[in-house]
Amino acid sequence: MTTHLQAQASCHGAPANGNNHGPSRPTEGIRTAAIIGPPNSGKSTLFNRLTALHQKVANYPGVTVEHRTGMLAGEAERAVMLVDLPGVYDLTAYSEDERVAAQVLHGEMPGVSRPDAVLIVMDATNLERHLSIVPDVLRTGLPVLLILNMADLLEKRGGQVNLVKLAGQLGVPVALVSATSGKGMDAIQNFLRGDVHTNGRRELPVLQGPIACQRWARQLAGESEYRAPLPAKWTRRLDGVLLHRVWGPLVFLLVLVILFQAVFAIGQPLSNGFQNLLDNLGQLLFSWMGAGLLKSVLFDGVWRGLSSILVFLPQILVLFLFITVLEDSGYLARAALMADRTMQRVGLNGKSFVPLLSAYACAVPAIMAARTIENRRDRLATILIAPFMTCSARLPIYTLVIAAFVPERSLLGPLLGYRGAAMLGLYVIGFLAALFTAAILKSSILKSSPMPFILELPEYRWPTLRSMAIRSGERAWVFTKNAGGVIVVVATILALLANLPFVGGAPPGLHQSLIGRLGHSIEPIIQPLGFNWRVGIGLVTSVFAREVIVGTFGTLYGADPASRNLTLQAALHNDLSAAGAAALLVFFAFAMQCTSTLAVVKRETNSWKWPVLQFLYMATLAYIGAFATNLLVSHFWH
Amino acid sequence: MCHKSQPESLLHVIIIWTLRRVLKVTTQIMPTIWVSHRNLTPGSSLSDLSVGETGTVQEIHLEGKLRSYVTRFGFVEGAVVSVIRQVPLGSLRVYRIGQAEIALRPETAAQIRVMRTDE
Repeated sequence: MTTHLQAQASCHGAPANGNNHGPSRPTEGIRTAAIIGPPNSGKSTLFNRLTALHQKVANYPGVTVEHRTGMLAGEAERAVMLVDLPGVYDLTAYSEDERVAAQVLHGEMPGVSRPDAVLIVMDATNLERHLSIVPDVLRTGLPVLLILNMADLLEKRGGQVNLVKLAGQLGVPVALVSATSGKGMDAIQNFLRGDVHTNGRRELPVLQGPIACQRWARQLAGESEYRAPLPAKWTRRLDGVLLHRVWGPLVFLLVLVILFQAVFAIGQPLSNGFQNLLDNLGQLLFSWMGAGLLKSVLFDGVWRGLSSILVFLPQILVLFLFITVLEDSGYLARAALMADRTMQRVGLNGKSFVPLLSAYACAVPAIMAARTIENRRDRLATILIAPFMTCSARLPIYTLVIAAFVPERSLLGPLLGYRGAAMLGLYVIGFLAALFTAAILKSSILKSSPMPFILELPEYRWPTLRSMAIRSGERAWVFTKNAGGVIVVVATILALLANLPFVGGAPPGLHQSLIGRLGHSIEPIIQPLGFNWRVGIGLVTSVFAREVIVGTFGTLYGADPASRNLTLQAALHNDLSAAGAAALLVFFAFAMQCTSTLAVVKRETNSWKWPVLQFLYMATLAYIGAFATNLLVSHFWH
Repeated sequence: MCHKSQPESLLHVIIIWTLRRVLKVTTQIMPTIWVSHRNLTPGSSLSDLSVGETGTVQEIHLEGKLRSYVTRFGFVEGAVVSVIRQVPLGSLRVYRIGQAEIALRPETAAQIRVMRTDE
């Protein structure tokens, strides 16, 4: 640690300028500022800190890149809007992210006004490489503040940079900050307030291509007396264990086990409690209404439909809290490396691992998490296979059928019983179906030119409570908004269909209702699968959400005098053959019975083509799988 | 006669297939075994370096888009790269270039020519 850096570090309050007496370039009147920077530069942490909770997430028109805006916090007199651009290394427009960033900075993005200023964020410990984004941004002609983030790490590990020289070389103000600790943030506020004047831009040499840019960046770093910090000792030590030949995979496995245990051991009871709460609340809210069509639609349709989605919130929150911890700490990048081999076999790479992991809770947030995959075709393939992962909405029907048909006997001592093995088998066939589908897609319609898989390993860091809360909360909210909206509409329609047409002024029995007739009419189609008309109705009602089939069974068997006094398990056991039950499980493992997922696929791919294709493919696979299961089991099992 | 020849030809196919696999695998493995034991020679590829070795990038045998893609991660002529570790469960390796640690698949690393440096 040299005195020089301390001198610089102490003047965080005002960004260092090459010369304060020269011609000034006022940055007053900043209404909108864009934040740009390479991935892993702490851009999002900075954005979160600057905007606190005043954030809005949307998609750019016509593309699938996320658009995140927020109002600058702590500015009472003047509102400054911050636009967080996607993480890019330059503006060469190779990926969709870079194209969007370039378009926004040039004011060519429809519906997004051109920013008045740009904040370039980069990792101060990696200056030589990250500086190469600067020429592209300066060429836009917008006022620029160069923010060197991770000042604390630079200082701690003995690195240094002469801010005055760097600012002088570029002719733009430079600030050394730490977004995690909040150090130096006032420099950014001052810039956005227009309090910073610079001595005008220097003419930059014309740089052709990224190689020239890299060379220029290294030279600039040298001229600014940049001394790279020592390698991250702790990161290296941790990787020695977490990427160890033996310990690495073991820890990886342990992390996965803990993750699923947490979702079931913590999330499940919370979900159950939440379910009770919602049921009681519903009873209370609708108790004043007399029985009738309106109550059926509002209570059975809207309220039940909405709560069927809301009960998954605790589990999803727990899962995302864990994933956020893994992601922010830097471990997920290592897990992606270890998963790369499996993904490579089916034509994908390690980057698809995170979305597929999230899909075990719910496909909706998983499909949104696929945004981190740069290659469009890989991303599409990941979106298309994610719903095969066993999501929590499949568990109610799995548990019911397994409890009704599989005896509670031990298979491998106390470790694994027949029921556990059946459940595990369903997880496995879902995963295999995903791999199989990926292999097909990546060797046909989504075949892509071999883009090398390169992943930069971030340093290990303590995740901050602040970003954990913001990100998990945001994901939960997007899930509720996406899924909830669809559910309310579909549940209302289904409730109407179940209560019409009136017979003698009263709602019909379920099997005479429109939905019951639909169940009867599809019976010939589903007979080869070993299903009867009751299952048919269940399949129809569960098109919008898988877990609905359990409720439908409850209604159907409860209405039938023959099975009224039996438990749901016993009723199902009497009504279905073992082969039909096995086929039903396979059907649910493969079929896309989830309108929320279809809606989010439509939104993320910006076209109806993919969700429709996905629905048809999964339905076909489910039908064939169930047909084969029914045939095989009834042949070999008596 | 006919019944006898069928299993035999099947056996032949299996033997030939196995031999081919063995040959293919040996040709893939042999150079790396050989390379790791020979002395420092100029002009090997990044995938030839063993863990702990360092090299200077001389040439990148990639064109256009792929080339600028690796460039962004700092793989440019003159850059000093060292092999940090082998990732378990696969063929990826972690390289250090400047301050960054970057994982590459061997097929990408094979396209980057380096000069070994003693360090």
